[in-house]
Amino acid sequence: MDAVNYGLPPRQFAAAFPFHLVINREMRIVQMGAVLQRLCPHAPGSDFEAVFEIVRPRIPMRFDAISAETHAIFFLKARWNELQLKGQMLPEPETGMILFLGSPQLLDLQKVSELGLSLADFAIHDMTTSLLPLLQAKETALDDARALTEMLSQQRLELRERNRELALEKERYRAVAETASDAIVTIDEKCRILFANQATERIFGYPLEELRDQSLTMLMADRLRGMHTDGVSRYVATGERRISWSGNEVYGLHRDGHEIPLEVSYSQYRQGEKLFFTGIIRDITQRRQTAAQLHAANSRLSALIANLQEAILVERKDRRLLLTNPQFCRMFLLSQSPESLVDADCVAAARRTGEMFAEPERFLARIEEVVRDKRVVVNEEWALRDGRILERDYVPIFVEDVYRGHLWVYRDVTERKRIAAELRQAKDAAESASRAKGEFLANMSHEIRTPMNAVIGLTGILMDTPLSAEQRDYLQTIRSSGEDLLTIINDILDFSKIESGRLEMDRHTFTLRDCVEEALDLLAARAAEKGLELACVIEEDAPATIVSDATRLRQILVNLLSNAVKFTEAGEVVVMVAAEPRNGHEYEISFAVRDTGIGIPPERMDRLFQSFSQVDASITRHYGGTGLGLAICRRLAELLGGKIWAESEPGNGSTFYCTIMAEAGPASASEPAGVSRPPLPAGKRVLIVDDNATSRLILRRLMQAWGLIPRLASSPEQAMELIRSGEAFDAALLDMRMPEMDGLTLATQIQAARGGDFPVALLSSIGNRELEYERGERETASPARLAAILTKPIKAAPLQDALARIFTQRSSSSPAPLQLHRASVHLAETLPLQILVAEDNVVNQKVALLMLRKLGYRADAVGNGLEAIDALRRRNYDVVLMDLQMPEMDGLEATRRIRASGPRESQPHVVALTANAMIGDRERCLDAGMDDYVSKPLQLEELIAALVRFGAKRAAAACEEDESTDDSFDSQVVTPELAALFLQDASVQVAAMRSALAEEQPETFGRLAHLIKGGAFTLGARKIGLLCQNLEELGRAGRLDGAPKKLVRLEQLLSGLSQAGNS
Amino acid sequence: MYGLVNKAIEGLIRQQAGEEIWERIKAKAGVEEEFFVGMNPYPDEVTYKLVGAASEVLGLSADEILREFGEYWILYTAQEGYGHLLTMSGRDFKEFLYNLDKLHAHVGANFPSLQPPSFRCTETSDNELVLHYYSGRPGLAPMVIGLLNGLGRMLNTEVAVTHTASRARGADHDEFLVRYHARISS
Repeated sequence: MDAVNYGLPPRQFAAAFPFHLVINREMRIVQMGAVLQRLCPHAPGSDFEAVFEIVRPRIPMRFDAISAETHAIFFLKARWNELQLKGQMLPEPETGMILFLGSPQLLDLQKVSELGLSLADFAIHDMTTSLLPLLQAKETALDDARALTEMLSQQRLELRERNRELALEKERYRAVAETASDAIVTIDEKCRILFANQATERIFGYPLEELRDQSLTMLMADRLRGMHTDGVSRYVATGERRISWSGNEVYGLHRDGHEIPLEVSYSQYRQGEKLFFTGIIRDITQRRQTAAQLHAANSRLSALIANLQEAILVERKDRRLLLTNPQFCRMFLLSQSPESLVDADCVAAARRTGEMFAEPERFLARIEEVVRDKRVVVNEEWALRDGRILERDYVPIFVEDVYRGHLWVYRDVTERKRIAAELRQAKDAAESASRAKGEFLANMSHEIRTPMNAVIGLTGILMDTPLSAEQRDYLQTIRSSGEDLLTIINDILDFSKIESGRLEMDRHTFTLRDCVEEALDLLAARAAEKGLELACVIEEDAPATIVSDATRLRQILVNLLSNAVKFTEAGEVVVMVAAEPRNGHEYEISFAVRDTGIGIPPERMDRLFQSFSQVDASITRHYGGTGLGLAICRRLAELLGGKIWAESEPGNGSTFYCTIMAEAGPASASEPAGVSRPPLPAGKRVLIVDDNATSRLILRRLMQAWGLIPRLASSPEQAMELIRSGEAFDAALLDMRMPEMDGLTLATQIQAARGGDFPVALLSSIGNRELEYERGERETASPARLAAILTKPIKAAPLQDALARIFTQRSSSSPAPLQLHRASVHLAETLPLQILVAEDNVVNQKVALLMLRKLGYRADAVGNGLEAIDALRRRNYDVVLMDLQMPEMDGLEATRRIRASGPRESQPHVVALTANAMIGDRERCLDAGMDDYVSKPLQLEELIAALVRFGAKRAAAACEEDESTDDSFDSQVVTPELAALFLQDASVQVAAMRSALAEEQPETFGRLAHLIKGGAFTLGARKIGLLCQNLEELGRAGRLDGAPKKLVRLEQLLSGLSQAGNS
Repeated sequence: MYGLVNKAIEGLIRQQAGEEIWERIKAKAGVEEEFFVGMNPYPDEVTYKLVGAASEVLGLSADEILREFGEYWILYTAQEGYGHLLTMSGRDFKEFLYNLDKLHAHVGANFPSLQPPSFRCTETSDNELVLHYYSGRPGLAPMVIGLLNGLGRMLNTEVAVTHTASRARGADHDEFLVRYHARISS
């Protein structure tokens, strides 16, 4: 096919239209421009549709449709690449073809470049190429715009960041200025204040707003103002720098007018033409003071070191001398002054000085060792050749853990050593003297006691002989003086034993209440004599039994109580017992003995518990005593794990406190073995009348504890009001001794109102016998029926027993027996005995003696086995109550010796007293030759039982052994009339006994024997008395089998007496 | 002159001497602009001042700087988005030189105030031609030498230029004898 050229030479056509194409009716591409052909190499001969799509106009891909659009702009898009052509479709009717004239549509330089087009590919007339710089310009502009935008954003960001930093920096500067402790002031050339910080306000006292725009000179001391202003002007004018108010000696002026020492530094800066000055102003008042103080302290320290009696040497780390003092130079005989020694070589100096020491080499070696160790060494002793002894300290000096040097301190201790040696000698001598004195005291006490026992014992024997009243009185004084003396000696002995540490505590389980009540018992008589109320209050939560040393505890209490009674003229003495659990079973048990006595002046309190000290020497004369009692108590309390102290108000009495540490005993031990207290019927109402508040308190507590309802009256009058008001009562408990009306009278009145059966029990601090007597005297006047008489101090057990009897008898309505007490009182009458108590503990001695006295016996006491043997040589005692553990010689050994000394018949009956209720004890006692056994603490009932057992045994023995021996009256007492009277009565009674025997009435038999016994003993017919006692026992026991034979013997003895009387 | 030229000077100095030197040169030249807009026409004196200041600061002659700049210009424009345009301007060194005037003609047509120079080639032998350079601005001939060298580098062609006629020395226009030899690409 020929090329279509439209009348142009082919080369020109091709150059003019490098992008043309021709399509025929079949829509086949038949011709293409060279450049287009390069871009679409496969297009020639291809279907137009396969190569291009018509983007514009929207017409079907048909020849006729294209032909119709001769005025439209055609956009053709190549199907295989990015080429897009823009041009015109020109139908050629002659050839029946369509010519497309166009050129590439250039929108994107990159695409053009990708297509591989170059400027040479475009016809010159083609304006398309002119678009290229425009396109390029457009992209450049866009890039610029982007770059600018980015730059702007970046700048904005930076600006913001910068602003923030500036703000922070500003804040920092502000904070620095505001928080500075120095004043910061900025002024201009005219000295006007432009800025001042908070510290300015603080230092100068002006509010900041008052300072602004004012002249700086207002802050200056008057004399400096002119200089300053001139200086600033000169500087501004000439640059000559002579600004005053800077430097060290500068003074500011406070708003209140006082001058302030300041330190000022200046800086300047220029803003534009203007010059500004900033001053930093420091208030150096404090610094000046500190410096002055430091200077003063330094001077003092220097003076101190210079005048120190100790020699001082301070070495630097390099072993050069830093400081020393005159004493050092003196001590080591140096001629130089301390000042001239500074920087001296200490190592060399030590070598020279070392020659003065007794052991120079050891001295030098030790220095090196100590300096190497750098540890504090004190009181190292060094001897000098000249005999002086020095003591040396070494102290390393560390500043913030860095070793800087060390300090040597030397002291001349020659004199001190000498004195110490002398003192030691003196102390040894004193101690040895003290020991000797203690031993002497113990020996002397013991030596005195032996003859004292003889004095007392023999006085007792003497008192049993016929005497005139005057003689009896003298003897009584001798005996009681002897007893007092013995008490003092025992105190001293006890004390020396404690002081020498030879006293050991004997701990066992005992009833706390019994122990306290026994102590009270011992003082009851004396308290009653003085008309004092004596009472004890035991807190309910205190353990019933404790494990401790009952004897020593009682000793403390007796001592405190006897002091209290001694120093109290009226009122009461009360023991209060409380317990505080400590750890485990252990309790701290405290005892307070409170009296209403004369009290103790405060200045004497501290001497109370010291040995050989009484509150006042005059008191010693007035009240007597060794002054050892409280000292002993204090040591005993300490041995029992507690302490003792006192509180007192002179005139208002004293309270002595004592504590001990003790474990609670086993619960079963709270009741003494074999005795069980009867329970009381609950809810019974008891009227209690006592003028003493403490007694009322105690009684109320006891009643409440037993489930009874107490109603308290503090006077007989008040009691009668209650009675008359008709209030129901089951019993009344009355104090005997009351101010307006005594207990007996009140009892009578109550029974008059409530009937004779109304049970009334009387509490009396006076003895039973006296009461009985008093009652007998007034039998007609006051016919009161007493259900019980109880002694004060109030004791729980007898009171409970008495109340139990009252309430049970009410139901059985049987009469009130007072047998036990009565029997006790009369035991000595029916069973007269000579009794010796061998017991080392003073209080135990007293307890035993007191119990025996209650039974009517006047017994003697000794402190150990040896003394007991001694006493037995002097007198034939019937019974010895023998403690097992005693110093010098114990009870077992003493008994063995007694038994070995002669025939058994002439020997006493020995009853063992022992705290150790152990099974083996009884055997040990019997083996040693003892007859009976009573456990400690001593109980009255047990003691009576033991004595009665002995009486029965002796009577029985007398009957059996003494078949034919005659009996006789005490010729000094018995007149023939009396003897006749007795024999007459006795014969009647023996006859009655016969009939009682025949009628098998053992009770009557016993009672009749009892009647004869009384008379027989009174008249000294001991055999008859003993025989009757035996018969009485048999009768009471209802065992009359051996009685007929004995009755015959009684008749024989009586008739023998009768014959002797007649002859 | 096109902002593009000043931009290229900035780019060259920043690349070769650093930001600080550029700021000093700018300050010395008394040029306040923070940013040159590429298509914005700037007074010619801005460019001359910059070149003068650079010469002073860097201790190089203006000719040296212009030569250096000419070489950098090719690389710079290629980087700054003119790559396609340059590519379109010729597939090899010779074609490029022959199209050089056309390129400037188009630019001049669109942005007459830029007063682009004009170029003409006279072929003397196979690998040698004479480039005729016509410009209303004096003293930029050294830059043409740099441009030719830069072009040679871009198109991988070894180029030797001799400044054969100089307007500064009284000639009608500047002429450069250009010998070129395409490197065998490796």
